Amino acid sequence: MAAEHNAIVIPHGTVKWAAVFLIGLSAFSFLLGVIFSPALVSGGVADSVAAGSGDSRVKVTDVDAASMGSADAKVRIIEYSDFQCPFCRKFVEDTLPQLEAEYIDTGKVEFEYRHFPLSFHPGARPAAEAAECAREQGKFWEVHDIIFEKQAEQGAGTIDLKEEDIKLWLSEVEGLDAARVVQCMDNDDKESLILRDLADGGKYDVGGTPTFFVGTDQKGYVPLVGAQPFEAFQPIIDEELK
Amino acid sequence: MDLEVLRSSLEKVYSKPSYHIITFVASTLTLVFYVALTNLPLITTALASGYPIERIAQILVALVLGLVQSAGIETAASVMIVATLVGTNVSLLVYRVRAYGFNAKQGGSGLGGFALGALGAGCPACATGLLSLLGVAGGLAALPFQGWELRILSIALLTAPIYWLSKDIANNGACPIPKRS
Repeated sequence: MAAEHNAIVIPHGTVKWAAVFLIGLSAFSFLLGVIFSPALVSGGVADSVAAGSGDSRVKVTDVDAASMGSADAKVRIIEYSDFQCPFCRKFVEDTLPQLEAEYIDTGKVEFEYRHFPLSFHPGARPAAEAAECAREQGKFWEVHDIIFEKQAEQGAGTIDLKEEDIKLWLSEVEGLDAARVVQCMDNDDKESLILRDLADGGKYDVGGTPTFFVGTDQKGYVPLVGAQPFEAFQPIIDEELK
Repeated sequence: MDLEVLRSSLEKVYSKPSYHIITFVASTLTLVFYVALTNLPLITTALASGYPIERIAQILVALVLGLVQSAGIETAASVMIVATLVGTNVSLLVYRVRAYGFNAKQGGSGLGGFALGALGAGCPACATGLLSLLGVAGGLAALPFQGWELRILSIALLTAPIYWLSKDIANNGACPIPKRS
């Protein structure tokens, strides 16, 4: 039977060449994907490779940034985030509480927040300024939480976040001198700090938000991109705690 | 498109339980491949850092199960559809080769289909890498339709070879003799 089938001539001789072309195209597609993937691009940046580690760990420079948890914790998670990004909000709602309970509050992990306001999120930069201005009063996380909570109340997806709204919400933060924060925002006092974080994020190949770096200053950091569930963080943290 | 041909070929293939298993395995591998490709910095760093293989497997499983949370329901659904279509393509191709043998000429459509499938599965991830190389912040989100143009292209690229293979299987691996006028 098979011999009979094999004897039949394909009517379209071009099929073979189409197949060859498509295989070539798919191989080319994959090659481009692999060659230009952020992982391999980052591998080529000397500054991103931990000295002496011999792997592609990212060496994240220590800076003055808002953090929670013990400064003596063995492992640090550094988040590059955007206050208007719906996935950053999802992380705050779904993953951060469990990370706090299991690792941060228990002194195993220090969690640090750095700013990466994306250009197409106009509300992200004033929100970052508000949070940094509030940090002077020890209220960074309270402002962080209220900015995400207020957006969640307005629905899912990207919310039209306005500077005026952020300034209004500040008055709801207990113990915060909102007028001082507004003045700090209007004076652009924290602009250089946010620009520093943006530039640093660029050096570490942060291509989107949220991006996390999990590790230590000594060993370097493992990158994790996206609003990943707690279960994705857990094995990385446990391995880094060893 | 002759849906009757598609239905009868799929019935023929999936009447055997082994093809359900092939589809499941191929779809799962596609999903793992997708999350590994989109989280390449994490996977390569974990491998280079000497993470035990069970830890890497644990991370990959968490990334697959967390697709809805990390990518959103629409993207996760489109990835699941792509993975299922890849699995179906593989099953049909395996059936076609096992039932009628592999002939370089006759296998052209199947091979082409498989290549299209590979391209379809790879193109969204590849595009993300290219966009980041071009300095487009936000990756797929920066495209006019937030990357849906690429996802729909992937699904179309994967659906076509399923039909071609179905036609091939319906014709018992032979090319039909054109009707004389």
